Amino acid sequence: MNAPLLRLYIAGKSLSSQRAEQNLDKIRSLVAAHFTFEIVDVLERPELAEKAGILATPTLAYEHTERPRRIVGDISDIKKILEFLGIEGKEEMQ
Amino acid sequence: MNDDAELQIPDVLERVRTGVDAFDELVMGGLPRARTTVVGGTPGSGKTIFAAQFLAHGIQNYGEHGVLVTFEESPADIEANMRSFGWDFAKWRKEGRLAVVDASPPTNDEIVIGDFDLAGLLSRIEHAVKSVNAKRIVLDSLTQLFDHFLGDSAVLRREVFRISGALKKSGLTVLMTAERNAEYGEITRHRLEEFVADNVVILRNVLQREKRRRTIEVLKMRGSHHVEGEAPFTILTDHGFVAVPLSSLRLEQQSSNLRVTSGNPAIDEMCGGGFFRDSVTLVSGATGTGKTLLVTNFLAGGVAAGERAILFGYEESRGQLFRNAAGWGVDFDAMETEQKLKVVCLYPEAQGLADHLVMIQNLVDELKPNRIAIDSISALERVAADVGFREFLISLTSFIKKREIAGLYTATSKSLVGGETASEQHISTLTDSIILLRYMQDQDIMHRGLMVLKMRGSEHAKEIRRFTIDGRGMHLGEPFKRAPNVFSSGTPESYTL
Repeated sequence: MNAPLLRLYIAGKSLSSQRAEQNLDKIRSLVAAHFTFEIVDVLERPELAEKAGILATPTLAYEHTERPRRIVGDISDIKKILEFLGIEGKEEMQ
Repeated sequence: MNDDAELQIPDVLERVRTGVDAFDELVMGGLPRARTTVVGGTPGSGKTIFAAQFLAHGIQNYGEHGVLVTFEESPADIEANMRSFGWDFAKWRKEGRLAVVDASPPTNDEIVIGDFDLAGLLSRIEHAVKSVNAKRIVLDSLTQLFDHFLGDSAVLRREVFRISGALKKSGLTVLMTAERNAEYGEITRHRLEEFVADNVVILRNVLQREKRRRTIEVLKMRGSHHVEGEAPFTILTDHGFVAVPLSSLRLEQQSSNLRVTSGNPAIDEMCGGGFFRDSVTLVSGATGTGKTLLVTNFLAGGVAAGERAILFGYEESRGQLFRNAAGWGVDFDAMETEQKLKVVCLYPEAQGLADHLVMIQNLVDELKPNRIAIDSISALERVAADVGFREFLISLTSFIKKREIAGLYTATSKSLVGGETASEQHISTLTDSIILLRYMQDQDIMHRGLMVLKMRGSEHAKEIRRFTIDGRGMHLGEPFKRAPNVFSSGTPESYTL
C-alpha cells in the first residue's frame, strides 16, 4: 500500500507560502517514512487548484481516502498540525 | 487653477448594460466598466438573479463572456435555477462563453493555523477569466466567503480588496453580492461595501400590508451621477429581473393635440372636442354613478372609429362586464371576435402592483391598442400602501403617454355624495383630465351630475350637467343652475334646477 499523501498548495514566493514550505520540511523530517509529499504552486497550476477547490494558500491537504482533511495557513504550529492530521503517534515512532 | 482646467470634462465612464433596462437608466446607462459593484440584499431579495442576468445579458447580447464564482450554491443548482429564466448556463459553459468557479464550501474538515491569503482563489478566477476571455465577473456571495473564514475578517478584507483590484486592472466589470441582515440599517454584513465597492446597490424585499414589495436602490456610484431613491421591481419567469424606472417618473412626454372621442358626443363637446390622444383621463364617482358605462362608451367609441382597445377590469368579472355592455347596446363579444377589443379581468390581490404593471405593459406592447381603460384604479389601491400605489400610478401613466395611446382610469369615491378618494389625491396631478360623476340631491330626488373638472391644455365646459342612464347608455341633459358643492359630503344646500 502506498504511503498517504500530504499535498501543500502554495502561491509562488509569497511570505506565507515560503514559511509553509519551510514548515513542511520540518514535518517531512519528522514523518518522512510514513507519508509522501507534494507541493503544488497554484500560480503555475491553477487547474489543479480548481480541481481541488482551493481557496486559500497555503493549504495543506491530507488526501486521506476516507477522511480528507485540510489545514489553511502557514502551518507554523507543527504540534497542532500533527494532531489535526491524526499522526501525533508517528512522531514517537521515529 | 486656471480656466482650462475648470473647463476640462471629466472622463466619462464607459457603461456596461446589466440587462435590467430600468436599472441601467438609474445609473446613466449601466454599471461603470472595470469597476466593482456590491449588490446587497437580504436572503431572497433577488441578488443571485440580478447577478446572473448581468452575466446572461453580456453573453447573449454583447458577446461579453462571463465568469461566475459561486461561494454558496453549487454550480449545478445555479444552472438549474437559472434555466427557468431562459438562461442556459450549461450550454454557454460548453460553448466557452461562460466559466464557473465552484468555491462552494468543501465537505471535508478544515482548520486555519497561521497566516494565509486567497491566492488560490485568485489564480483559479484568473484562470477561468483567461479560458473564456471574460469581460464580466460575478462573485456570489462574498458574505459566504467571509463566513467560511470567520475570525479572519482582516485577512479577508485585504484579500478581497486585492482580488477586486486585480480583476478591475484586467478590465473586468465586477459584481459582488453581499448579504444584509435587515432591510434598513447596516448596509451589508461584515461591512463589505466599505472597502471593496466603487458602487453600492441595495435590493429590498419589504413586507407592506401583507404584500411583498421589491425595490432596488442605488446607494453609491463613485465618480458619477445616479438617480436616488427606491425603484420597484419584480422577478418574472422568462424575463428575470424587471425594474420600473424612476427616471421616467418625470412626465416629460410630448403631448399631442390630436383629439379622440370619449365615446359620448356630449362629453366630447364638454371637453372641447374629445380627449387628447396621448392623455390619461380620470373618471371619479361613487358606486353606481356610471363609471363603467363611461368606460364602455370609451372602448366602443374607439372601436367604432377603427381603433383597437384594451380593458383591464379589477372590479367585475368578464361575464358581468359583457352583460353590462350588452345592456347599454354594446357588443363586447363581437369586438373581441374581430380582435378590436381585449378584456382582461383580474383580482387586484392576485399579484403585486409591480406585476400588474409589467403585465399591462407586456399586453399593451403585444397587442398595440390605441386606447386603454383601467376599471378601477381604486381597486388596485387595495394591493399596496401609499408609496407603492403612487409609484404604480406614475409608472402606468407615463407608460401610457409614452405609447401615445388614450387612457381612461376610473376611481370609486367612498361616500355616495361628494367626497374625494385617496386615488384622486394621488392621481389628480398626474392625469390630464378629470371627470366627476356625482349623485346630487334635490329635495326628495337623487339626480346624477357630470362635470369636467380639469382638461389640460384645453378649454372645457365648466357647468355641471345632469344625466340619465337607460338601455341605450348615458344621456346628458341641462346643466344644474344652482348646484350644491360637489366636493363636500355635507348637507347639500337647496338649489333650483
